[in-house]
Amino acid sequence: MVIALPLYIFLFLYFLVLAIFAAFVLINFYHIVGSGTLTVMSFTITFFTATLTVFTLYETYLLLQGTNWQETIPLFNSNWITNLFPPSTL
Amino acid sequence: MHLSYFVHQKSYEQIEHTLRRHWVTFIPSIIIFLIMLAVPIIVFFLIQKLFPNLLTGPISQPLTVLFGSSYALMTYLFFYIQFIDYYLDLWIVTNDRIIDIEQKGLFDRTITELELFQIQDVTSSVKGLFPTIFHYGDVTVTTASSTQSIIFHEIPNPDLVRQELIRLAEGDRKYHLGNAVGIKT
Repeated sequence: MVIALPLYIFLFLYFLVLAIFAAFVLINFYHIVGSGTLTVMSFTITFFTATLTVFTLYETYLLLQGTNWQETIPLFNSNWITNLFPPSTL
Repeated sequence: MHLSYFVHQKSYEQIEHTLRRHWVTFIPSIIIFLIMLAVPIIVFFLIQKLFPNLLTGPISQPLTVLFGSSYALMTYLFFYIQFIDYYLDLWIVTNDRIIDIEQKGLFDRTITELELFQIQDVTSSVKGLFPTIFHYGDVTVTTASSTQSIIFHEIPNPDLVRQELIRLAEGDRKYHLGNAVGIKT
């Protein structure tokens, strides 16, 4: 018996992290615009953060190309237990 | 910067100064951000040396990339939130009042107003090595009411701000007194 976790589960978790990140960035930007503090400084920092984000996402995409997301991560294999007590040859 | 974003601006009211904390006070956040950015780079070289298979396996490689990418994004988010927290803390001094806007985190903002003619006492203080070198400090403004005061935290040139507040407060008192005399006669 084998219990395995497919790799694409982690991709979905990553998308969840992306969604949370995007939500907070939008909230931050709303604070800047909503409080009338969209100045050269705040725009520069926002642009800097956006550039780093785009660069990171692009690099992540490049590094994950060719990944087989159907691969599974074994969580439990009954052989692990049976192999603990191998049958003795008498 | 338009006052109407925060409060209702009076017809005769003009913004005299918009003050923020000194830029030096943001440097610790920048240093923490750079350290957080350096951590995955150091970890990458360690893994490359100690566990090279972790970076090439069909399962370990994508997991490492996803984790590293998530960590990087959270680091950028931390930096951006720290900047918002620093940048949205400001003090607006008009010819009529002082407005203290404090942003505490993302979901907590406090706005306090204080009429200039109510000012009783203005105290400036510069404490510490870096505040003395870069000349920033606190200015405390108190009124006759013991419960109401505004503190300008870590602003540049607190002595000049103190003098300016006293000048504006005197001017505002004369304006209100002049109006009162005008009404009486």
